[in-house]
Amino acid sequence: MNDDTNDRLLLRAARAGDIDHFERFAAASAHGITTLPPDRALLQERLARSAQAFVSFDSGDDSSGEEIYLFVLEHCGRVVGTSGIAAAAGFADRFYSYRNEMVVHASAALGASNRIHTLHLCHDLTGHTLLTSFYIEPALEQHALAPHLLSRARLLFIAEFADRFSDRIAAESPGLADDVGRCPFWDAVGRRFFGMDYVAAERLTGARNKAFIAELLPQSPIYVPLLPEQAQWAIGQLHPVAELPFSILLDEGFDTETYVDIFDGGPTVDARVAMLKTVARSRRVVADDAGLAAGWHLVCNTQGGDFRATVVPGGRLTLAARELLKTAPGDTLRVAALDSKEMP
Amino acid sequence: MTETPLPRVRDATAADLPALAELRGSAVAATAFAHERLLLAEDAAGAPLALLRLCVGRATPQPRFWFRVGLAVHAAAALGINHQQRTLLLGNDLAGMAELRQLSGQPAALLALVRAALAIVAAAPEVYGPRVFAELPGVVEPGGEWPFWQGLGRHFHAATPPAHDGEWSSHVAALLPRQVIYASFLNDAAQAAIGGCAAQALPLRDTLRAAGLRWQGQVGIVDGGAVLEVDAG
Repeated sequence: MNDDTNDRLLLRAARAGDIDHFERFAAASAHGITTLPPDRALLQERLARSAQAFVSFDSGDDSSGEEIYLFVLEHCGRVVGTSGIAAAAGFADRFYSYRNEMVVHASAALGASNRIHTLHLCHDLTGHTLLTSFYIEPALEQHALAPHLLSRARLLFIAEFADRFSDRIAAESPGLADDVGRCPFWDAVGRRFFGMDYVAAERLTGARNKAFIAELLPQSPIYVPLLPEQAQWAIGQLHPVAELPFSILLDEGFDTETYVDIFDGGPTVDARVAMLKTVARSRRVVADDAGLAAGWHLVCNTQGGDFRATVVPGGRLTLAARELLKTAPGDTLRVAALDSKEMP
Repeated sequence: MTETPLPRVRDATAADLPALAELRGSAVAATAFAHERLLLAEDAAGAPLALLRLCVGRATPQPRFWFRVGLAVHAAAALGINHQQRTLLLGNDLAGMAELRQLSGQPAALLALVRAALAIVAAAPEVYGPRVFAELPGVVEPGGEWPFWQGLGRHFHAATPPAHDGEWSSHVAALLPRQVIYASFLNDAAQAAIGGCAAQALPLRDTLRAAGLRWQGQVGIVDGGAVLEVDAG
């Protein structure tokens, strides 16, 4: 498949020249992807930060945890999607989440015992590595391999350069909201304290690690039974646009039960990096070594500054694949098998 | 020009109980605890005009709970936001204080009884504690429901509370939120009932205010009614 130039897939580090593609993705993903703001200047700034992070591999600069890494997916040479990594969530500040907790209120005298769901404003995920900015063109969503390469290759990158990342990882997904900015969770919680609608608040907070979140939101837990039913139901509910990337994270082994987004109540998943399927399966191989087992594999080079990843079938690595990865015989690669259900 | 004679105030005896029950409109029990006082005011002919029960806080077998109404200010100068939020915190702030209960009868006679009770407490703070309080019945809807309960308690215990049952109220506290609740999470009717008073209890509120009792932020956990307080002595 990958040898066929009609279906060639490549994930690579994003470049400043990709700005037009990012602007297109941002416009198309109006829903909840705060790391893809529909603002050319902001996108350029993010691309510049990403470029700086990739350059630091070659310049020998120490990573600080402040880095973001943006990738793009090419399909037959055309840029069709993006994904990203933030090395440490809430770097230099705090990363806010609501943590789901249950408390049991009981009265023997009244013969009553109730499990009460509460939401606690917390910084648990501060410093976790964060998967961000997933977007793929609708035409490629059903592609058997493209979404998997776009999402999971990030985990190969993290596995290969583990000292630049936390051993814990998280990812936010958009929660329920409609096209005119109504969001049942926000309208029941945040709006009471911010006094503005969801869209306005998102725009203001941007990277959502601003101290004023703490100044405006209650520090005491939110008792979920006091929220309107619609808002209760929205807690941990995924916006339909994010089903594909979310399903990949679930398959990797992310936990969905613990955290939700403080704005829209969408699920924030978390995991230990080492427990994720792609990371656990990944191993380093030499490019001209004996072939891979049957089935499709994710494969990436091990050059941080010019990171490239693709998908290959079992057997020996083809010349075309080596050229895509810009790798020579004797170079080290990292591979991880994909499940059979992910094969075309 | 004739002056209304001051009502005579004395401790009720067992013989007074039927007449007091008639005055109050429900049963009146004899005192059950040491230093508890059942006071009545009567006219010159010996007809009861008002009653109240002075209870010793320490004698209550179950811990009592109230919500303390507070204020939290959330401000973000950069956004030009400055919101004041009312908060409710479950606590036992009035534990051990003397309580006036079963206040019934003519306002003038009742005022005399309240003043007499305050004098009793002031004379023996080691017995009654340093403060005196009285719970006002909370805002009630025409259908008989308490909007405060409908907006708060009901979400934590799906039951219709019995009318002003102190023991039930102590038990139900175990089912209510222990952490600060922001009032804005309650519906409008429940918020409006915080620190309020049932319409038929307005004369009682005025009587208590005339005796110096004031609302200091405590409300009933079931009906949200104001608790009026005063330092004794």
